[in-house]
Amino acid sequence: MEKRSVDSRVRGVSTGTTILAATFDGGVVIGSDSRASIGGEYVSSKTINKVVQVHDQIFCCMAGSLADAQAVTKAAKFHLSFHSVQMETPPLVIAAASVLQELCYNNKEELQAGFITAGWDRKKGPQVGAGRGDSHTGSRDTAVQSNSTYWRVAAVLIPCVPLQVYVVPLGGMLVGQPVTIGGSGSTYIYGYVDAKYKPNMSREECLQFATNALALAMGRDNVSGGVAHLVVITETGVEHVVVPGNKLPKFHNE
Amino acid sequence: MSSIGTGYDLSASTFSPDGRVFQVEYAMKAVENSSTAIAIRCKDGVVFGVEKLVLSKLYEQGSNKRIFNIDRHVGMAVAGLLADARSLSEVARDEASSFRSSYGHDIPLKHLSDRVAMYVHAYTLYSAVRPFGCSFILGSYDKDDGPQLYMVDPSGISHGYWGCAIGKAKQAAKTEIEKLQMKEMTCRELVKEVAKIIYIVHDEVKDKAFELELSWVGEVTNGRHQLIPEEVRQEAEKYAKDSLEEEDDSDEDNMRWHVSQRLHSTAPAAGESPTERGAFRDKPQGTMLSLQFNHGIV
Repeated sequence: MEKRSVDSRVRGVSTGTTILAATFDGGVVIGSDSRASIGGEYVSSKTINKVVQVHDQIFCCMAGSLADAQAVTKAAKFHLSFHSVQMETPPLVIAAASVLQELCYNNKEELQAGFITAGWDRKKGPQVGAGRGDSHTGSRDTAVQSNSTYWRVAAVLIPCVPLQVYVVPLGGMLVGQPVTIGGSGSTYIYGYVDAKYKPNMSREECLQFATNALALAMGRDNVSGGVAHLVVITETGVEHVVVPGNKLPKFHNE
Repeated sequence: MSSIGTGYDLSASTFSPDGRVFQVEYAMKAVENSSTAIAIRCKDGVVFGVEKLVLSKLYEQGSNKRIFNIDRHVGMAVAGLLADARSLSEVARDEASSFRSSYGHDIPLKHLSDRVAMYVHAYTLYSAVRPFGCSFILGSYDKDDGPQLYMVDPSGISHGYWGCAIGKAKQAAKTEIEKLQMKEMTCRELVKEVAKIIYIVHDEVKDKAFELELSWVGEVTNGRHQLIPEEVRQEAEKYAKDSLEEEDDSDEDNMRWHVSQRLHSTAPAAGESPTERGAFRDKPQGTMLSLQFNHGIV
């Protein structure tokens, strides 16, 4: 049913998505919108949570085909749980991102899912990483050029001490950055993120920054919307913040 | 402690009536016939020292190394059958490299040691294979977890240590190691002590020439396992030789010399039971390990 080739629109239920992760002083904020759509024409769910917990203090955001992303995170969750029992210590964020990377890269022909990993581990503290698992590379740029491409990247944001988020986009690359955005909606907020992100913000500043970014992306991207799911991860624990659609910040054009 | 296990020692898949697996014990004897290797963990690193006996003047210097590199941050010193040890070092390297590939970071030493120990243990379960005839010491340094030291023996058990010794003079070496306050020492101080211990336990009468192999991993090397640089080695050897000369003059040393002679003796002395180590060479049957006693042990 799904025609998985270059330039085709993602068929089946997919997440036209906006996901992001950003590190602040002492933790990481990872967040996403909540809309799932089919082919960009029908909203199949207004309230899915794309921020998935893969371990106690490690979360990932999924982008791309929802089915693929869920299958990958399920496998990663199992793998990480086994790994942490074997090592007798919670896994490092880089280990979680690497597990996702292996899954994305080795199955890149079949998968269309990318991740942002963020979390906290005792070695490096808060970190963020992004990874993409897909046979289509350079999706962000392609999305800008062609209206009908909805490349999504799931980013797994893992907060760690040297604030770093790991992004595993489609294709299975692994990159650590202080802030990262992904999904089709991310193209509309690159400017905002580049201009407004500052390293070592406070928790409130970072939450406000993330909420604003999600709101702006959801306002312009037709396949992102719903509520904003945010998770704040610090050394002491994890906190979920949900901002319903009508409470999102409004900007001048609304 | 050592006895002949008539009939129950033909394969590793047989227990004796008193609950021992003789093949594994014989494998440990192979280690005891080899020259000594020690490793000590201090507050900022781990130092390895090996007494590498030189059996022939025709050997190229530095050949048949007994300290291996497993990944960048782990060192491995071995005693026993060198060929067995080499194959285990490859196993350890594969484990470390596959971990790094799957998880993106250095393998923690405890995990590596558990994995290699599991592999060694697997060879003690079947009659179709023989146990590995070597013990080895793994050491590493990580800036978050600090220095670590583990030793694996032919039975497949691994323990963490502050200081350990394997090989023929391990008792004498352990005594020397226990005298050190290693938790307060740095690597540079410890190198000299390790060289000194190797020189002390080396038996001048039975084994003539030896090469001292020294290596370290710690803050001083930024977490990389390396052989000791030349100037540090010369300083350490000089310190070792000087302390040996001082001690030769003292009465206390004569006592120790006699003790170390007893420990190193492989021929049954008068009054010793024939079941001591040396007697295995005469046993014609059963002990698969007896054939290896004469080759490949360094």
